[in-house]
Amino acid sequence: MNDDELGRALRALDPARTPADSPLPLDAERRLREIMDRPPVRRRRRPAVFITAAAAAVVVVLTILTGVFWMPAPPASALTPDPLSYRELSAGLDAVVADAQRRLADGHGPEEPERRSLSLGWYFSGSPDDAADTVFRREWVDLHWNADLSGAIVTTAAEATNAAGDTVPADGPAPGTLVSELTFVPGQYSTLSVDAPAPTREAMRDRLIASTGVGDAFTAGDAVNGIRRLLGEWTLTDAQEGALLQVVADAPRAHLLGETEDRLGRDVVGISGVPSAAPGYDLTLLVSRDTGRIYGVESTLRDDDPSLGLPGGSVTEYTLWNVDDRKDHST
Amino acid sequence: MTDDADFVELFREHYNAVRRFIERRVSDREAAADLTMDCFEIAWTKRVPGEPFGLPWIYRTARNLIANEYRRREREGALWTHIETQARTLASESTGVMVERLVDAVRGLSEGDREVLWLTYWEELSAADVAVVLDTNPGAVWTRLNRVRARLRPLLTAPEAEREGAADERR
Repeated sequence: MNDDELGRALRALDPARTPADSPLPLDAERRLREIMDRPPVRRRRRPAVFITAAAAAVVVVLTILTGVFWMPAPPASALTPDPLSYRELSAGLDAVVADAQRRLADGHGPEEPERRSLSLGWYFSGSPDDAADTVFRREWVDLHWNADLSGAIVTTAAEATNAAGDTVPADGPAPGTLVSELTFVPGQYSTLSVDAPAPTREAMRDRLIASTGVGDAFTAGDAVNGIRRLLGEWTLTDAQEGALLQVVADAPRAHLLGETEDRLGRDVVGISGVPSAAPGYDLTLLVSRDTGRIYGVESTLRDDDPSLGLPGGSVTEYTLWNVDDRKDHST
Repeated sequence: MTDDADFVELFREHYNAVRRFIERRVSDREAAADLTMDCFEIAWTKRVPGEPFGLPWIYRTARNLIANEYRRREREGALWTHIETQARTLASESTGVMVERLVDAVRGLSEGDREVLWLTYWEELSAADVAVVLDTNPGAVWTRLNRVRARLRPLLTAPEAEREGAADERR
């Protein structure tokens, strides 16, 4: 369903009963006259000097009460996590992917693909003018679904990670707070296929192309975008993840960023690309140096975005997988 | 044009829109009519001659008015009764499942997300005007709207089995 169809469906639910072109009721005209006949209590603009004096008084009161001067809200960019800092690798992309595939052969993932995706994510919903309106979400998202297309998504507020700049407002929900729970009755969950792709480069590439809809223009950024969607539904076997990495390595415009630690302090390498659907963003795939498994995807602004009030390079979202072994989270 | 004439013009232009806005959120039609006039009374008392306010400002006033008059739970309950009645009326055998899915999915959204959705599709406001009603900014509205759309779209797509069934019938 596209946005136009969605719009039509939502408009059809409109419960308003007065037609938009209904003639004005006589009662309403009569009451308007009554309202306007009353002596008006008009709002006048106060002189600027008064506003200034009032504002100064507020600051003085706050200073007395708290002992500190009120400070303006920080810009949105100050509230986004610091970008990961990468160290250059001597090996090239092909060698890095081959190394990850060797580690995958040691067997760290499930023996069969599971219709489940558990992730820890951080999401930014920008508010350039007022930091108080900026929505930050650091959430556990746990999706279980079944071959009959039933299932559930449970979202809970997550605890802080140890990443620099990875802040949330103090009044955000406490870790563990249930944010939402959405249940799908049989047939309701929608997916491209009830079966996971075969563990081959071709099958994975076909699925990623189908999910991103980019066709022949498929790039490394599209591959990472497709992987984000796929791992949003599945926990894949090591062989399947190895095939996914091969698709990324073979796609045009893949860029090896180097090695770093992810938001949970795990050793990873970063491979980035620009998705066709969102050319203003870099998507970075984080691949474990220990297990070869895909540990996360980060989204970063390529250029300044005045509408969000964020400079180029700002992190706008990250999603981490293979997180069920965290000590502070039980499933 | 005089101050009074300006206001009468504004009233006549926006009365139906404001009444429909309130009808969408309050089940009692008489109460909705009263609240509509209360809203214009506030607009009259707060107007500043020469500085006309637009429909989004009036919608914001109406929202505050509704919030003052009704406890949130009652408002929400009334709205859902409204929407579900409308959904039952609309649903034919072929679209019933889709409409039910839509209602369920929207019900699962946060109140803030739903309000962005209604203001966009029912009141047909731009992101900038939605931002005025909700006292936020257009960037935040866009971000929220895109998230909600992305969440709703897959739920409303016919499942694979259903699509295949439909294809079989056409053969």
